Amino acid sequence: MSVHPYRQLPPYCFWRTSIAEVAPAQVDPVVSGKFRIDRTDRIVTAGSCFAQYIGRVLQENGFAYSVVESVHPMFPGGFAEGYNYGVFSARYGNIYTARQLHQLIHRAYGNFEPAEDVWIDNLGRCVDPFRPQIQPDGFSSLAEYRADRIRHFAAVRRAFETMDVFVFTLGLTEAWVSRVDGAVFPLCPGVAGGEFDAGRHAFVNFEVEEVVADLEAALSLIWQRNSSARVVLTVSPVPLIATAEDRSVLVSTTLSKAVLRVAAEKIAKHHAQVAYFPAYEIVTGAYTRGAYFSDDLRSVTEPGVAHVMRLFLGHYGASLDHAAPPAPNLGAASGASHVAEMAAIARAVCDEEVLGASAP
Amino acid sequence: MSIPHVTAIGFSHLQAILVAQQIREAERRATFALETLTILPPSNPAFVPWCEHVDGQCIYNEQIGWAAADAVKRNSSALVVMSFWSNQHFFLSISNDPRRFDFVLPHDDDLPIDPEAELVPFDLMKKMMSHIFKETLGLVDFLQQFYAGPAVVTAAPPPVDDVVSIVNGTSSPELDEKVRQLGYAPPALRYRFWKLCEIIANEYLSQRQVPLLPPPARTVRPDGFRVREYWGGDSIHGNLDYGELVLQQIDALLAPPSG
Repeated sequence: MSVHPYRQLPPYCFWRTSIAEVAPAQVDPVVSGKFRIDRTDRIVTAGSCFAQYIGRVLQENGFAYSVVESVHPMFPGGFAEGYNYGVFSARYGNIYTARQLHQLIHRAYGNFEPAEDVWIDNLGRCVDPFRPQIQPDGFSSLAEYRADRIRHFAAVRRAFETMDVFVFTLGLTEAWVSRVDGAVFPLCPGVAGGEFDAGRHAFVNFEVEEVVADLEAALSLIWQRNSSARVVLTVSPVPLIATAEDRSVLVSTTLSKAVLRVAAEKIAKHHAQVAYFPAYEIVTGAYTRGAYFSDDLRSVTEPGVAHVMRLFLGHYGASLDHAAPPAPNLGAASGASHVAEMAAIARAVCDEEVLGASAP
Repeated sequence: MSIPHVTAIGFSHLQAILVAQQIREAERRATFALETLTILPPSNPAFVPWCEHVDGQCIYNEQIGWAAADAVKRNSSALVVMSFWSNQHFFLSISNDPRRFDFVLPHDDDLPIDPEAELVPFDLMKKMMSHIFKETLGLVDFLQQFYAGPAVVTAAPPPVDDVVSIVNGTSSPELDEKVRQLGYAPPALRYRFWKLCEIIANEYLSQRQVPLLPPPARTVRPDGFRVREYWGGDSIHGNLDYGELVLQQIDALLAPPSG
């Protein structure tokens, strides 16, 4: 029998033994994690829609998922739905492209102010072009919008400067940018606010070199302020909902994911503290026969998310034999009880004690 | 010559109006007759509770409706004055919250934002305060099932800005204790809550063609806080002079249109 390199390879290097002949739920393309995440590590998530699952599951499993902009506890459960609290670590909404991540960090540190930084409708309500769906109806005024943005950027800085692990899910290569200053929008202007103007807005489809450069630049900014931060890159398995290229959305999806996958690979190879986690492969692999997509062939099913997160926790999560520390607490419990308590006092005050208060 | 009749119904802010009216009557200068129905336990036990929660819904006390209808009919009231805006604006803005917060009003908000506070969205704040306010404002709909006729809802007196006067001056030992524990909230927050309640009340009442009677102009400073001369014995209620100015507003509403 001839000797060749493949004879020495472990089973996970072979399709038949690691994919074709393995029960789908047991398929494990991760093999081994590049580092471990302890339950005391503060984890920040950002990225496309798929990244939302990661934060949620980490939280459910007792990891120190860092939420620096959480809903104030005075609002009862479900009251703040649609305001994007806790969806990601901060209220930055979906960050679909590496350029957008780089831009967010630049803006958070005051190094870039886009020319087109607010969309105001005829009622005076304001939409943030860079997180257009962060509130159901935008902001009630320019003053509120600006005040919120100052606090949001402070929260972003806090998140990046205090995190131990950053999980970033790359989602798209297609984007719309300002022709004036290159500012990149998460959604095409006009879709969820603002007005599209071909004279001011241009379509871009980032290539591998651009995505790599943007990721390098973003991570460099993070490490300047938090040198020990470890990074997990993933590629969203969710197909494009539409392409602005004149071709099939299926073809655009393949190209986009391929570009992101190559970019993630390059970054992870180049930096010891960056890992690539194959969520994309786990969900889209042929072994699933499409089972991890819903009827719309885009949304990832719960079993798909569960498979991804089981492998993530198994390969990256440190042993679970010690209790997790409580998540960063900004006063949630006391705040909720405070409102109830004040309301009860107010009722009592209203009922009887104030009758004499109007005396001259 | 007979004078018109007014029925007033509501919570504690009625007291300033009632006392002012009593003085007018004692001095024989009342311009209208006033019957007040105070929805407070010592005044009218039959009105307690004014709202009973059944499956999360507020079921209003029908005694209140019948009493109001009776007063209006018996006196042929020309106007019903409703004082249903009580301390909704006050109880979350007297002491600091354990997790300090602030918000920005959509218009004419030049007051400083608390630098130590997190900012909560105005829309979300409005949603919550509308929820808190809906039961007392709902009394307007409830009462209108019992009689038809002109009605106004009075605004609560504007907030006071002097925090020193609030300590030990909330009418409630529990609230005073909260102030001691957590510190008093910045005046701007009290103003914003008051203004938010005004926005909510205006939106609600305008859909029902019931006007909101604003605080008498003389009682409001240019920055929106209450002129000190009109402070009551605590930090929320108006005094006798405030009540007299509200009576003058009612006079104006009762006066036949000129020209």
